[in-house]
Amino acid sequence: MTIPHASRPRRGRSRAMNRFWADRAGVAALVLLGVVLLFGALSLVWTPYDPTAQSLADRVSSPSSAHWLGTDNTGRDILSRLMQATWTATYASLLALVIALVGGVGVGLLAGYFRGPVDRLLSQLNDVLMSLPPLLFAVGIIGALGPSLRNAMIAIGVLLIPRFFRLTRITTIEVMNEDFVEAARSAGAGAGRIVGRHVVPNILAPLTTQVSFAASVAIVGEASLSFLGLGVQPPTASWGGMTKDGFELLSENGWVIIPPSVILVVTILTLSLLSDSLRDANGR
Amino acid sequence: MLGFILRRVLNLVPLLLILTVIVFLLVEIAPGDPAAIIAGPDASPDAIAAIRGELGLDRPLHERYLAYVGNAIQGDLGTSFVTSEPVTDVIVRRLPRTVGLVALALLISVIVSIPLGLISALRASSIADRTITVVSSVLIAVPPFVIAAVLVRYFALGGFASLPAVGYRPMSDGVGTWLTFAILPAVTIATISLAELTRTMRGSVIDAMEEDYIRTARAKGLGHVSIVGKHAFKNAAVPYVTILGLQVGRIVGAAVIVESIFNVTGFGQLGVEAVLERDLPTLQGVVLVSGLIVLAVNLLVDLSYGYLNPRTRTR
Repeated sequence: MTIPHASRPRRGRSRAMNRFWADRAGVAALVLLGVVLLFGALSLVWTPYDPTAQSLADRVSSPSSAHWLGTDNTGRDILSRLMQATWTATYASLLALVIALVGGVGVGLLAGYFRGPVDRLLSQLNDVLMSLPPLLFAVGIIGALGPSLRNAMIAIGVLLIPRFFRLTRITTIEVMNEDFVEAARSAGAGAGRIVGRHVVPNILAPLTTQVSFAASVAIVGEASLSFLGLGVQPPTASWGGMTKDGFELLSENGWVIIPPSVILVVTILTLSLLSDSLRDANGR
Repeated sequence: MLGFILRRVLNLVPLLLILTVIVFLLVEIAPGDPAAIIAGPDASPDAIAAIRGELGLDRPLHERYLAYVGNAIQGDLGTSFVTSEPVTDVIVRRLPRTVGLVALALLISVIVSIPLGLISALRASSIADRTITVVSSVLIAVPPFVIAAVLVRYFALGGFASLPAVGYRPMSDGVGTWLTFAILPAVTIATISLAELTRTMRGSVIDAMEEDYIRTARAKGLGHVSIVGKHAFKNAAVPYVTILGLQVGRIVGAAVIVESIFNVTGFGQLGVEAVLERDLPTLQGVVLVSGLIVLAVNLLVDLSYGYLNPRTRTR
């Protein structure tokens, strides 16, 4: 990294970082999110029981010393399933975020850099994508590709593209009008250099806020689609699928639905808290 | 005003074009040959080829697109792969149930959010305002199926009431019967937009109350009720209606999951069934019609600006 070019955005970012670390709610949210992530990652190496092992003798039980969070309708250990489901949610939302970021930021840079007819076409496309009912559109894509976690996250990723597109496009246009871009251009910098050295560093800060928000949309999307049976396929555990199992048992047992619902709501609240404090720290 | 309406309607043309292309392409990106799906696993290559010809799948892409749009304009959305029934008929049969639920949900959202937003705005930073704000933020984070579970637990399986937990009765069975079945799904859908609408109402009333025309109204001796009701409220209505319009897309989408939870055989449930049965024409029809509904609502919202704020008419 060469100092003269990098110094402008870096100074801004570190000031934002200082503001973020001073915000107790934001730091607490980050720590809580880390705990949830670790809880899920742990399932890769260890769970108390096999998350898919059924035991009809232990069908539907409330928390006990053998099963800390009880068992579900086929006697599977809820704690083990919750750990696996947490990993599923992490993996799924990362997949959707990568699709949304690559698509939205890439296309947004194109539209913002070139303007003109390219921009008009892409913006129109974006408007249509935003006008479609999100969940139905996801159902459409999954219908075409077939129900699976990967296809569900492709659908959610595509749905999140407009958020990143709009943000990237508008920020790129703003940055392109700055004097330092004009200066770089007259010094002979090409498109790649202008975008890489000047535009991208300036859109990183507003993007972090959107990423945190988009992660919560991806998690709710994955859970909703898995609840409908269009996402994660059984017997693999997911928050949405476990909530569905609990919902069907509601008249028999009110406990089974609680663990997946609580972790889902807490994670989403944490992400929204995090994106609030990131927004404050970035001054936007 | 007529020119304003005409311009807004013309704006829809490119949007409609892209929407139909997306819907048309849904079948194109689907792996596998639709003709083979219809023909079944044991069909001979000749039988599959015959079905391909019948469906027009041997024609070039742009011809098929134009044929699809041409038929769609005449109300023909193709034939279901599964039931061989015209897709339009199925949609016409299923849509009223969803429209009923969505309308009831919007009504609940509006009836609850306007007074809550007004209380929050006029008593800013009071305990009532803070409670409303905190509850709204939490509600935004709760997915609809969790809300549904709580409602079913307490209002269907005893606790506070014993409403029917699942199922649906049409309005022709009596409005009261319809309401007992529709109320829980509708409240579930309503909570999705309720929080955001309350926040918007609060914010725009607070902004409006700081405007010069409020001071003028107060100076000429108007009472509090008429200041809030006539001046602040009407001006706060513009952002509120915008957000309300934006909610319709989310609400129609949420109807998919809520119908599935409460086992309402509506339009959203039709989409889910179409996915599970690989019924591509029905799926296309569902996505197209829901896109059209959202575009139509957005148009109405645009036009309402002309009424609520005459300045926008000239733009």
